[in-house]
Amino acid sequence: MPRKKFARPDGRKADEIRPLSMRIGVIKNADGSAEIRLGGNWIIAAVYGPKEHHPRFKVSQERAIVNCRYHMVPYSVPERKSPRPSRREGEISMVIREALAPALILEEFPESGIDIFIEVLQAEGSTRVTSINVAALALAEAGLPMRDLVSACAAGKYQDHIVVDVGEIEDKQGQADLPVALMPNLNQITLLQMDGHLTHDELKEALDVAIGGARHIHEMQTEALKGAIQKMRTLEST
Amino acid sequence: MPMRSIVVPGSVVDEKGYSGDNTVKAERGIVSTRLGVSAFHGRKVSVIPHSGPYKPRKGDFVLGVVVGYKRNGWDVDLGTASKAFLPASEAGIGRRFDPRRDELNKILRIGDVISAKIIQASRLRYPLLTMKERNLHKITDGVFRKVTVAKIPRIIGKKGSMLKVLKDSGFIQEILVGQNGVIGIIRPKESYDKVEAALDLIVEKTYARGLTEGVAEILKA
Repeated sequence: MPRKKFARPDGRKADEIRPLSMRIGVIKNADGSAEIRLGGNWIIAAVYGPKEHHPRFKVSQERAIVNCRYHMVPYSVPERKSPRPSRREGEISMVIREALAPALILEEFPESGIDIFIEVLQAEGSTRVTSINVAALALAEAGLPMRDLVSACAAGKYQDHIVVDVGEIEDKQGQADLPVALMPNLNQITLLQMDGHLTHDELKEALDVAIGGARHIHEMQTEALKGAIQKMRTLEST
Repeated sequence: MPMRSIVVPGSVVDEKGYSGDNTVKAERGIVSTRLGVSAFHGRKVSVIPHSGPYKPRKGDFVLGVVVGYKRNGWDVDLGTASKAFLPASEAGIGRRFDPRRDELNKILRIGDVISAKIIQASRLRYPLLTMKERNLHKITDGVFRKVTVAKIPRIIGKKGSMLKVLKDSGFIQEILVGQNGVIGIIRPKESYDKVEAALDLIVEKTYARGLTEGVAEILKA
């Protein structure tokens, strides 16, 4: 047991998620869009399609192709980030696409493509899981058939403690980081990555903690989506 | 009978019953695959979607734009993933299309807006169109806007009640509603922006009670 009393950099409890808010339908030109704020994170996602997909040789006769672009704007981090897509962004785009695709019923739209654009306006740790959460909302608002929503959360090890929803400092100074995405109703994991060192027992604990966080976020996603429809039910403008 | 409620993808609509539109049967019960409102017809459980892409169906009245020529017809954009095809024989020129005499671009040119009907549609093939009916023709004067397909029934209203309110406002000569989500406001008068505002209201407050009255109020103001 560590002797010093454990405290997280932003004073949260080990099982506490940063303040979270979501908004549906922020981009009029998109078929579906959403915005999320999780602590210092501020991310926007927009979905277009299904539409004609290019290049044509990549088109499948069996299902729609999903394209995903995760991008951080130059002012999203303290030091200017080059706007050109980096190796890290390419990788994250790929893992987000693979985390979301199992939830979509793509067989209904053969020979077409679905584009997901994710812009990180402000970053403060755990942007990949936050991006998955907001992209799932945008896909649901676009009216695409889905088996389930996708909810994601990261767990980590900071000062020998397993913590949920890893922040910026915990990510940089922590010992491990474990982003998890799942389809909460189907109980299926669609993303599991690990960076750092965890013992076997710690890994189990971190996984439980991350899944718990994702389930909490799933409840809030459901609320956000229901709220968007509820607004259409009253004539009073809000 | 269970109450209508808002459902999200993956949520259980009802524990028992048959799976209708936009639902799948699972161990947990009938599960929604779309964001929308649940609906019950007898034992059939379905979901009325909040939004979504247009799926062409046989017999649908649609508005589209001519975007290309093929050797025996035109490519028409309906806003779907694949372009629709209008064969020259279905262009409704009043006689047989004769490729030795007739030229495609004398009948329809790229950029023309047409009203048409779908005569064939399947999951894998592009939809086929026809204009061989009395109310199907090239549209020369109008303003167009796109809405989500899921809003079309509300824009038409029960037995066309909403359309009647919009038409009777006197700001427009006619309003065409394509099942593919394209709305054509035909021969608008100068102050037709009230009709646009009314359409905005329908799109924003789709599920509100007393929407028809709200629309009538906007048109009167």
